[in-house]
Amino acid sequence: MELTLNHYLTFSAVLFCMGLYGALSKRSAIAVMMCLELMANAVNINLIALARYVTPGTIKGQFFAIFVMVVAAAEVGLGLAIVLSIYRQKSTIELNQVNLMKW
Amino acid sequence: MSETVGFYILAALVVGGAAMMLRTTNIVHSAFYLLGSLLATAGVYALLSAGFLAIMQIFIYAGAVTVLLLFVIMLTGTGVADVEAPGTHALAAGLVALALAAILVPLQIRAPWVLPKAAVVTDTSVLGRLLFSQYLLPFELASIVLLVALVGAIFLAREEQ
Repeated sequence: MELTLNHYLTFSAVLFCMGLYGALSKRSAIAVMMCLELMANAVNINLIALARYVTPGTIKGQFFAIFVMVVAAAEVGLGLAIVLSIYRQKSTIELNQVNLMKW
Repeated sequence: MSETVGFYILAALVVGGAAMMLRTTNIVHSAFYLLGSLLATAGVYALLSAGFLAIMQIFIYAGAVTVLLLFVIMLTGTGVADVEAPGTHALAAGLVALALAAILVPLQIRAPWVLPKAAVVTDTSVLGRLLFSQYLLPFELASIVLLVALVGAIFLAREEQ
């Protein structure tokens, strides 16, 4: 069987949904960040597969993927700094305990 | 043919790693399953003849992000105790994810693509030249984003005086 673009897109859709499930269901803030990384990863697979099959001459999608990686790195750095400062204030990183903005 | 076999093996590793990451309640194990999943993704990029991105995936995700996650797990001391199993809202989360999958997966399987027959660029120097000519402005903006994120992370994570 020939390997097609649809294989990669289906695979990335499955991975994205798994990440979405984790990001919505996990209680630990760190676990949620890990699931966000998984979702960013699924998006990158999508972009690189499209670059390979739709624009093979100019590989445009790969540039999008590079910038997604940059933003994901910035996101995880800032996110974990926020997790650390929440931990200092509340001694927990369980997301249902963090209700500073609830009124 | 061998490409297809490679794809299925790598896809099984990525999805398997992700599934184990979601399943386990020990967050350190979870981080290591994520590492395996991310490394297998680098293999998928290599299969898509994106060599530079495969290396970047290993450097940034497997190298930096996983180590950072493990550091924060250690600093917050959640590694010793198991995290609580997902509660009742996990059911709702599962339903949302399943609904999205039910929409996306059949679409992606059947999507009719009209694809050009051109040969794919595999040379990394092409990527580098385009990054420093056509994509120079986003490249410089990305460096500012990283700088601001660095300053912000230091500001948020430092000890209060």
